[in-house]
Order: sequence, then C-alpha cells, then structure tokens
Amino acid sequence: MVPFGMFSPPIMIAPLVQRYVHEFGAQPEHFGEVALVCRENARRNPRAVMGDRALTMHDYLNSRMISEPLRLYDCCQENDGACALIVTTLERARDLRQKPVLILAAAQGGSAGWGDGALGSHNMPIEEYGLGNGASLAKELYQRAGVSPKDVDVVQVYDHFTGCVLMTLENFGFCGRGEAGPFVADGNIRWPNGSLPLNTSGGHLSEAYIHGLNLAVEGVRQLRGESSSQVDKAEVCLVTAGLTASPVSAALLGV
Amino acid sequence: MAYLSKDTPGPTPNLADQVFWDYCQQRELRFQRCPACRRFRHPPTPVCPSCRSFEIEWVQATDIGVVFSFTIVHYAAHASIKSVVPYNVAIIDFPECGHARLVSNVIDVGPTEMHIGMQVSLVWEMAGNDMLVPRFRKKI
Repeated sequence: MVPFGMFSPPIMIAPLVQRYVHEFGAQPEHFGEVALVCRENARRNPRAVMGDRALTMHDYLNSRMISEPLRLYDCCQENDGACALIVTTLERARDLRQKPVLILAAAQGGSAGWGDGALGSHNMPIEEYGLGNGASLAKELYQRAGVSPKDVDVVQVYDHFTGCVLMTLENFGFCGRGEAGPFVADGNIRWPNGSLPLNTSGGHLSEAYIHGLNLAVEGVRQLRGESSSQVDKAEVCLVTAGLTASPVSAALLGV
Repeated sequence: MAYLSKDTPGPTPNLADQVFWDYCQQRELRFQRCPACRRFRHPPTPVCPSCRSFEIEWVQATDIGVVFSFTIVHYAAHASIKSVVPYNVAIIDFPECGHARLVSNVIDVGPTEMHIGMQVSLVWEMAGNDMLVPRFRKKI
C-alpha cells in the first residue's frame, strides 16, 4: 500500500477509526477520555514513561493531527524496554515467593479474512471493517474461562490507538455495538470508581509500548494487589492484544 | 503531475498480484473472481478462500467506486511525502465486484471535502517506478 502513501501504522488504522466514527457517531472527546484515563493512571505509576506529564482534554483536542481522525495523543508511544512473565504449573508457583496468578483461559485466532486487514489491503470482512478482529475470539475466551463480561473487575486493553480501545470494549461485551463512546464518557473506565478500570499502569499510551507484555504484567500486579492504581478486590482481569491484525489474542487472568 | 511525489516507492508485484499489475499497465482494473462459486476476491490469491477452486477469471471493474473510508495524513512518515502533506489515503469500494476494495488516493478532493460515500471515478497515474497505478477523481 506504500505506492498510495500508507506508510505507517497510524495511516493503516485511521480508516478503521474513521469508519467507526461514521457508523456510530463517536466523538473526539470519547477517544480523548481513553487518552486521559491512561495518562492519569500513568501519573500514579513510578515506572511510567509519561508519569510526570499531565494531560488535559484541552491538550488532547488541540494536539496535532497525525492521520485523521488520529491526533498525537490517540497514538501510543515507541519505547525501548523489557518485561517478563514466568509461566509454570500452579503446584510449582505455590512454592515461589510471589503470589501466583492463574491463567483462566487464553485464546488466539480471530475471524477469517483479517490477513487482508488493516495492515494489508483493507479487504477484511466488510461488516467487521470498523470493529476490529475480536468478537469471535472473545466469545471463545469467555467460554473457555467459564466467566462472562460482568465477572471482569479490571481490563488491560491493547491501546495502540484510542479508537481500538473502544472497539475492544464492544467486542468483549462490556457494552453494546457502537456504545463504547458513551460508555467511556460516563466514567466507566476511570480508576477507582468506574465499573471497569482500564489500563491501570497507563497502558501503551502512557506507561510504555512494550508490545502488549506490559499489559499482561499489570494484569498480574492487579491480581496480586500490587498495582499503583489498585482495583479493590480484583479477582478477574482481561488482557487483550491488538485487534486490528490477524491473528489476535487475549487472556483472562484470575485468582 | 502525479498525486504523490515520484520518490514515493511504486508497486513491487509479487507472484500473487503480478497479473493484477499487468492489467493495470494496460489501464484495466480487474479483480479476481472464482468461476466455481462466483465470489470476488482481492488482493489476488492462487486459490479461492471460499471453495478452494484453483480456477481464476479476471473481471473488469466499473470505472466508478465509492469512498468506503479514508484518512487525511498530516505527519510525513516517509521522506517522499514531506512536500505533499496533507494528503488523503482512501479505501475505495467496488460494490459490483463483491465489495472488493482498493487502497488508493482521491487526487482532486481537498482535506475538508473528503467524505465517506463519495462516488469517485478511476484515473491512471504513473508512479515513480514508471508503473501505472489506479487513482480516483471525484465523479462529476
């Protein structure tokens, strides 16, 4: 797609967000709310790259356009960094110093046709164009884990772009189709009082972009009670990967 | 003058889409259709993803497409576009060809005028590597 100037991930993803806006009427302030929530969570996280920089809705709305409708603060960072997860049997984990966290279920895959999706020719299934690849995966993940969206206490959503966070909230059943904008505007993803605190370390937007693994690490912190934005009595955490490509993946963590 | 600069890399045909680009060099926009199950598909593939047939026919598209989505690019992520920002990248839908879509540009529509649903007509422009590429104008 390079001959037509589609050079970078924001340019590849922006048409999906544009279509989402067209179909459901999402407002810039809805995307801005995701950016602000991530930044405020990062401000409590001493490891967060953006931890010392406040962000207001005024800053967000006046930030420069990168690839419409994506503004600067709709796009995640690029960082060098590292993190790690140790996966072992529960029996072994119980002998270790740290409190074990369970992988209730993990799923990888997605709908057919997304290989020709946002990172390719934009010929993914037309009815899913502005929604991302994730609804079928979500259904399978919940079935495997034996839980439903209402059982989830906190989420770590792959926030390469704010618009993709709204699509994920819909695909994973936290609100109806096209309702994620009003859902976040109502304060649902805010820590500590929202019904579904999101990206409690600051996410890719404001903690660091360690390609999803830092979201999994934050999920573990939440369930150990060690987050800098700890959700009270967190028992189930959803961690998702970016849903604009193929395959996609997600995991449900629990204690 | 072409919509993007001549330094913007041109198409690099591969085994799967060589025929598509060969038709483009004859100013023909053609999409693959499976003769067995009649499904259109794009980008080109050697096998029908629906019925697994290896048969291929190349159907000429109408000259009219619809802007399915688009973006206006403001940040120059590549040196060749520094002088052309803001420019649009549009997803052009061909409803009569099974909603096959092309990533392309609408060359005569400004940033504030672009909108989803706009009808556009096919034009051919020369890319930097002297290959013809399909672009679009607002339909009059």
